[in-house]
Amino acid sequence: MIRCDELTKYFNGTRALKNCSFEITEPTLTGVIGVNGAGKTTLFKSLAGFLKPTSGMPSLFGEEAFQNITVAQNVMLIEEGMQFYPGVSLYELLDSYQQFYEDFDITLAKGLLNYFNLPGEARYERLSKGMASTFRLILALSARAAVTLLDEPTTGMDPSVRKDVYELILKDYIKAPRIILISSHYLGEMESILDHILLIDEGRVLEHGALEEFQSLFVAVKGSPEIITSLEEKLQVFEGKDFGPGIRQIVVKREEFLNLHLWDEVKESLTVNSISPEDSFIYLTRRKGGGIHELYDS
Amino acid sequence: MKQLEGTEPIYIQIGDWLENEILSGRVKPEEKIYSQYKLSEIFGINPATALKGLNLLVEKGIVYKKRGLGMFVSSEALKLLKKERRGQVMTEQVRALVEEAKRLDVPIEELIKMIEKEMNKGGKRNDSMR
Repeated sequence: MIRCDELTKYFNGTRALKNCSFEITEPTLTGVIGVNGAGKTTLFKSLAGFLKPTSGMPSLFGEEAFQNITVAQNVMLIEEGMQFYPGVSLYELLDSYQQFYEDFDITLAKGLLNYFNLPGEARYERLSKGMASTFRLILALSARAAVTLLDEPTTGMDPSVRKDVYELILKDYIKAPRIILISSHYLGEMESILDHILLIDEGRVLEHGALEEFQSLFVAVKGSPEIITSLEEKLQVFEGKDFGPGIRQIVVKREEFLNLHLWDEVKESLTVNSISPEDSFIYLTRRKGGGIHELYDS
Repeated sequence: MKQLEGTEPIYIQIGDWLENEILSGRVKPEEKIYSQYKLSEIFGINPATALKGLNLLVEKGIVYKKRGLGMFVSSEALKLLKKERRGQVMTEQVRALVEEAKRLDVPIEELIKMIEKEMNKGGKRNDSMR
């Protein structure tokens, strides 16, 4: 239902998106991960049809996205900078969105406003940063659009509210399965509700796959400094750390490590642990130039 | 909501948790096991991830699918699990125990006595494990 073929977008000479290609055909809760400025928001706006690509038109439900009313009626995008009609109450905003989105669930929307203690008569412009984020999310979920794009939905929210928010998104997804993309530069707190990850780095799609694939990309190998150092000569090392005189740990790609076909005695002297998707993301997108340890140890 | 800890992928942790539910007898053979949606609710995880965890057990023959009814614990589940645990987990624990004993200069006779003492504490439970 979403197809991107070499999507490229220039802004004032900078390439915000470079040859992005990916496809999503089934309901999913996909995390779109990338550092600040990686291109996540540009991608979402292009998918929603608000930005015209420089080349490579994204298609949703087989239709070209840009300024397409069919696409617009089936896509809901929320992001921090979005504007709402000024001077009206939250209730009135919900009403107007209900007119536009066929499957809008107004009962759910009002119930959620209540749950989060958002006064329906308030004006959006008067809301605090956190409350505004909450309102945008309530709007997005209630719209029940076939493609729902949540750009950094937890911006400004208190930690306790954020936990609720992810639980809420999961619950609503199960109730009404659809394509939901959530962008964040912080994977840790939303990892558990996702089934796929789309990793964006410097405008490119670096990885797109099931959550578990991320968890098996890297491993942390711990052992005696002699053995570890000999391994370092044969592998690409993403991080090296000394845990005192007797133990050294390196982070390497799991596949490379397995391809070494180490002898059993060597393998048994090593401790191998998985790396969380959060850390995998950091290793994949960290800029070259060594880690903090090198800076301080030299 | 239950908390998941550890660095293992979530679906593997779910698989382990389900196996423990079966081993402990909280879910019995031929009983319906937690659905992917129930697991999603309990742990706050994506149902696709929960399904992957369940499928681990299907692959091992511990759980099977009944068309239109859901997933059930197989009658061989306990036998399979105990065999697997004996092979993997127990071997690991024995290795760690022996390593520690060697480190602390504990002679084998003393180690065996310690094990016997611990096994006899169980009393009735020992017989049911035969």
